[in-house]
Amino acid sequence: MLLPLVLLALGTAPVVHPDGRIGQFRIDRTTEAQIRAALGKPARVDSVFDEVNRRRVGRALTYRCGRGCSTTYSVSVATGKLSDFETTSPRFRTERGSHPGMSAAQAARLEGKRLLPGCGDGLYAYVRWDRHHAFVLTASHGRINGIAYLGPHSVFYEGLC
Amino acid sequence: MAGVPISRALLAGLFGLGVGPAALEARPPTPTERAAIVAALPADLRDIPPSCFRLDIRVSRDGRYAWVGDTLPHGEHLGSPCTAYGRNGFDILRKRARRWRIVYEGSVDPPCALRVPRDLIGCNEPDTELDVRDGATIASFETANDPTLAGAIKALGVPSSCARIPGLRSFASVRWRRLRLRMIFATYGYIPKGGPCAAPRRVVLDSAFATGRAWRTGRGLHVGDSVAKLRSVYPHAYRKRYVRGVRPIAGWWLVVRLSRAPDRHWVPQLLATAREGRVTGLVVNVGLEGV
Repeated sequence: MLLPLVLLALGTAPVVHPDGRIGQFRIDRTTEAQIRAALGKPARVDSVFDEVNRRRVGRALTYRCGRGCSTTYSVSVATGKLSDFETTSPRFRTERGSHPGMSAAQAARLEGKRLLPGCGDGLYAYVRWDRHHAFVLTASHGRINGIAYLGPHSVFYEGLC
Repeated sequence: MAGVPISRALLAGLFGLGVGPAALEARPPTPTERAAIVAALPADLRDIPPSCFRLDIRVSRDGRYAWVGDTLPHGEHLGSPCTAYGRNGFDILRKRARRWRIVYEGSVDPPCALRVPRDLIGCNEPDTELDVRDGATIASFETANDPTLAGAIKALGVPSSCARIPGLRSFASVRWRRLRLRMIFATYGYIPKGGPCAAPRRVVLDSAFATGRAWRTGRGLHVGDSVAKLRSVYPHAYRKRYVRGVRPIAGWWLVVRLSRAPDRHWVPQLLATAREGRVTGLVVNVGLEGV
């Protein structure tokens, strides 16, 4: 009885893939309208500005998932598509099953990555890290506390730094 | 693809003009090669609208490496819909076991360590200079700009390991294995429970140890050079043991400064370790965390 429930739960959990698929969405493909159609009105919408010329480069749509829990989808003004994703929600998982809330050491083992320092506070498990993609699990106090995916057209000038 | 004839024409033009030996020897791909190379490109690159897409591909003479660049369509201007997809970079792919894989993405020549054939593209020796003239500079990591571990990661990339130094709870030893570089970051201030590795914005450079043969000082002394060269380049250098660092270290004191500590002791800001008449490593001591 329990197994089908677990499988059902795993089946519905949105998965963040290294190639940019985030649940039903996809980096550089999904539009803001599609996000709103699927998730409804965001709890908050912020503009993201270029740090150099102060132009608006994107919009960050934040959805709340409980106390201290939020998921933010950033949409690039240039492409009109989803550019970045950040979440602290334990519902989201990676392909290998890591998710916010689990032990950082266990997540590192699952991902086959070491926990290393990054530009921000805490440790990162670098799931995908190249010139155009930054997909990391962030860890603090021994627990995974978030998932971040910055795509090729990230609205964040400094990336994760 | 519409861009191919133009690319070939462009290449032909370059051949005609005799632009560099690379352009003279690399060749356009065969249709099969082109299809395999395009299939190996990242999905986001392949997903660019065809109207915004112009792919230039060159294959090395030995057929094992390919250069892939793309340019905006002719007449495209800033602010038009395709601008978002424009990039000034290129990819280098390598063929291994009949499959192409990306081995480099960038906008400048790839590092020489990748051994990409010179007929395809030139290469860059990595910036491996250590200097202590205006604050410590370790390759592109400039402590005058940002002396923290976060600054080092931004400049040098993700480290290969980070570990707390036994007995020194707020000191971290961070290693960039590919660069053959180890740096110690520290603070005497507050460190969160996760230790210094989990607080990259709080810890600052204490010292750096470079052992790869590519590392050199501002005056051109390389790791691997003879001590005779060291003495000619740094005529005032002298050999002494430095015991006030994280670990005692003996070597040639190349650049010395007076410590800011009340006892005003001398610190080898730049030191070279040597064995059997050869320089084996370069050490930068800045102790930015204080003393």
